Amino acid sequence: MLRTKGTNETFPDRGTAVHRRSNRAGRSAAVAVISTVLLLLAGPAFAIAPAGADKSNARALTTTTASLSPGQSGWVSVVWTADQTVTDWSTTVSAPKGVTVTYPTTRGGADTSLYGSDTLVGTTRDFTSFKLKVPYTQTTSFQVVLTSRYSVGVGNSANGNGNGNAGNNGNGNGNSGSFTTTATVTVPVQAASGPTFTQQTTSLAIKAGSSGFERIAFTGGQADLTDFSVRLGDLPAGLEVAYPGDRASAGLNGDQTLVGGSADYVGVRFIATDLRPGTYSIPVLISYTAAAPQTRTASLTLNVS
Amino acid sequence: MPSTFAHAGTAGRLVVVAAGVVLLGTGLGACGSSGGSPGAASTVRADVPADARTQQIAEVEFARQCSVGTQSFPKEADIDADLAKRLATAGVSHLEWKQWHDSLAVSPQLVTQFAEVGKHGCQKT
Repeated sequence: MLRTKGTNETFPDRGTAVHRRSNRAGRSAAVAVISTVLLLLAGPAFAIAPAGADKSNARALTTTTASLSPGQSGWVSVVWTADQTVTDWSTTVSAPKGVTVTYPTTRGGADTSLYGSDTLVGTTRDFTSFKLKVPYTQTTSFQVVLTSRYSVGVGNSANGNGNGNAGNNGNGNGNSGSFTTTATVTVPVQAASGPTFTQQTTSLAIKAGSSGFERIAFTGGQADLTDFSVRLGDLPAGLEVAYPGDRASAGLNGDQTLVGGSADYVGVRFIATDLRPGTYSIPVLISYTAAAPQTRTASLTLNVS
Repeated sequence: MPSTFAHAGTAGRLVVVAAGVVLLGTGLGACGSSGGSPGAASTVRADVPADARTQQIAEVEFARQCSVGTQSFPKEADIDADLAKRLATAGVSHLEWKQWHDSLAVSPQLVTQFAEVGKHGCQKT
């Protein structure tokens, strides 16, 4: 059972701290008046006043997330559990400078909640996910601090773990209100391995005399590659190419970034009105920014029939 | 498949805030509001009995929660895709999973069964 005698108690064995915004019922009327004024002035942060100690023992089970590599972005998850059912779950994440945190779009982008709902049923598990983007300069593991805010209401006995507090609401011994718990979680950082990216489309078949867009697909390695663009090098006689928007090169369809581990493609228009049937090898010049801007040359086999 | 991360219950929070004002004003120091998403409530069934089917869903969910902490996904939608894949492999529909999940809060048998599934913890890989 949670020990919350203080207002800020740390549990070193699991890196979890529980903070209680205490406001016991039964205090003097003067305190109640002051609290009410503060409530009106400060807004929701103080509007949800707990009646007693947080007995939910909501806590993170995850101490280390999946590893990421410098330059990688990825959605990582932290699993939570509680002894009693808690609701209105909201988690925010603080990360070291340079590490970007992004929350799910489903909640508006300001926080994350649990996957299945915003309720964590007592003795069960659920998880929060958030996206971390690790800068190329971050080469060592780091810690993020998750602050989860939740409500403990009355009548949490549906799971058989009710503590009988349902009738105690308002007498100072209840177990309801809004609480926060924090968890410090390690994010391992490991050097990226494998190819920086893979060109999935290495050959294309077109008709002589045709003119149309073709897709050249790529799959990212571990790290993200920004400003990813492609242009073709020396072309055989009779072939012209064009890029979307009449630009000098083709960008990715989905974004300017080839996200690590994901696939995307560029579109190139092949104008083969004067190209004879045959097989041609065409240089593919791929530009991107990893830790620094880079250019690679690959090739594309064009089969013209 | 849409991401299932709980939507922010703004309206629910407003109700909580309003309730807090009333409760503080009357000297009561507690409030209780689930503030869950409206859509979730429509699928909740109370006192769902535990059976072989719910056991199967619990096993899928527990296995997923064991692995999700050690996984990273390139895109947000990949988390949903991971669940969809696991459910498909087990022959469970997303709706079944959702109903099971939503019923947990009001179905002690499902909670007990879920706890039983996970009592030995995650298998070391």
